[in-house]
Amino acid sequence: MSSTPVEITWLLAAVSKGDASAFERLYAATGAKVYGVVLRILRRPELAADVMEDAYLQIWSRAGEYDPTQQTPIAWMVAIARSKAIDLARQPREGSNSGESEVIDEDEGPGAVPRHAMTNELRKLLTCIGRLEPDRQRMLLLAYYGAFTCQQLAVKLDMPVNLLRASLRRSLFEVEQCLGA
Amino acid sequence: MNDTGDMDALAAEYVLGTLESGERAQALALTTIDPGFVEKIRWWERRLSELHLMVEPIEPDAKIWERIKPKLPVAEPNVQVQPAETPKPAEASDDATPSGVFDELPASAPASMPAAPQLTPAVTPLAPAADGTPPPPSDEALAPPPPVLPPPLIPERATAAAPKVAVTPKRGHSGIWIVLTLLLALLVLALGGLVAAWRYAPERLPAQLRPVEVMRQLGIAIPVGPPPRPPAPPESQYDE
Repeated sequence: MSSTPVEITWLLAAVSKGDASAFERLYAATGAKVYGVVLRILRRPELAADVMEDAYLQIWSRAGEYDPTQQTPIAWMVAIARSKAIDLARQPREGSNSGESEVIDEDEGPGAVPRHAMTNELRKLLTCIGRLEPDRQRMLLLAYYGAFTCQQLAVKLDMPVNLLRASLRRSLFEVEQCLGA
Repeated sequence: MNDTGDMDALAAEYVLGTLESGERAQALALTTIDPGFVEKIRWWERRLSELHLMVEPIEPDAKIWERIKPKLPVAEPNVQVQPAETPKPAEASDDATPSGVFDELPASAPASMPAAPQLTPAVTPLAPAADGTPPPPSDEALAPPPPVLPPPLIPERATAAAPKVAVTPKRGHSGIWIVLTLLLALLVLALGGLVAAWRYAPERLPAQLRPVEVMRQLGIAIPVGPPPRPPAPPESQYDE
């Protein structure tokens, strides 16, 4: 992705005024990143395509709500798409990924981020996550990237679901304190 | 954990995505009645969504954009706004030109195009007048063919009314015409003055211009009355 956050912010501003060509450029600039996040959660391209459609139509209609002082534009768009992907993943269906044994590889953890793409916000977040024990670090990142339920995580990590949930909540609380809520 | 702690944890887990579907539906319902809960969700979204930087981008199928594009709700009205604005400058500058010709041109065209249609009405009267044929019925056509006094006005009005660009190529032509008209008008004035002088003050004219002399030079026989009979010699009065 070659577009800078400034360019994407500018495109979002144009989209908020109904500029359809800016929206096409916005999709071209951000679609691969958003699709990567969504497909990682849903695993199935046809479901990911549904979420992409939903998410970008919402981005089109809510572009004016984006606040550049709060987060980067791509993070705002990813949050919208990711929430929709989780909604879809929670819907009961045949062949859902609950029984799949696929586990996110370790090399897609924090060390995989390109140095030039690192932001202050991400560095701060990773610093706070890095203060957790390694098991809890992996649990938290696995939960985020795969959007697994506690039940699914418990199966993957081979631990009781109640214990896992308590551990996860404690991790979230500590990260929140670390970030200075 | 107390209730507030539970709410915080629920918001964090909602964003993280670890809630079962029933819990997620409850959290979603909370967002409609608890602004503080919504604020908590926004906070976690802002913090955690930075993690997207570690996700490898995957190029989506082109069909996905083909699905999104036709569903943009405001796309059609937005497109219609632009054509509605462009004809305005065309109408404003083209009111003297035949309508409909420029309506479909882009907005930039009227700036240069109207000069062409205006050139025709401004210049055409000049050419027929120079030929001596009656000009077409237009404003300039008021000029009558007999070159009395109005004719000199025509070129002046045409020059003033027509754009400079339109007249420039015809300048040499109309200049000749102006000179001819003025000469003709002077000739008429001179002849009229001469006729008046013949009638009212023939004695003031130079000898060459007196009617008798002019007519003699033109070879016109002067119907002179019978010459006065010389007085008959006294001796002849008895001849008859």
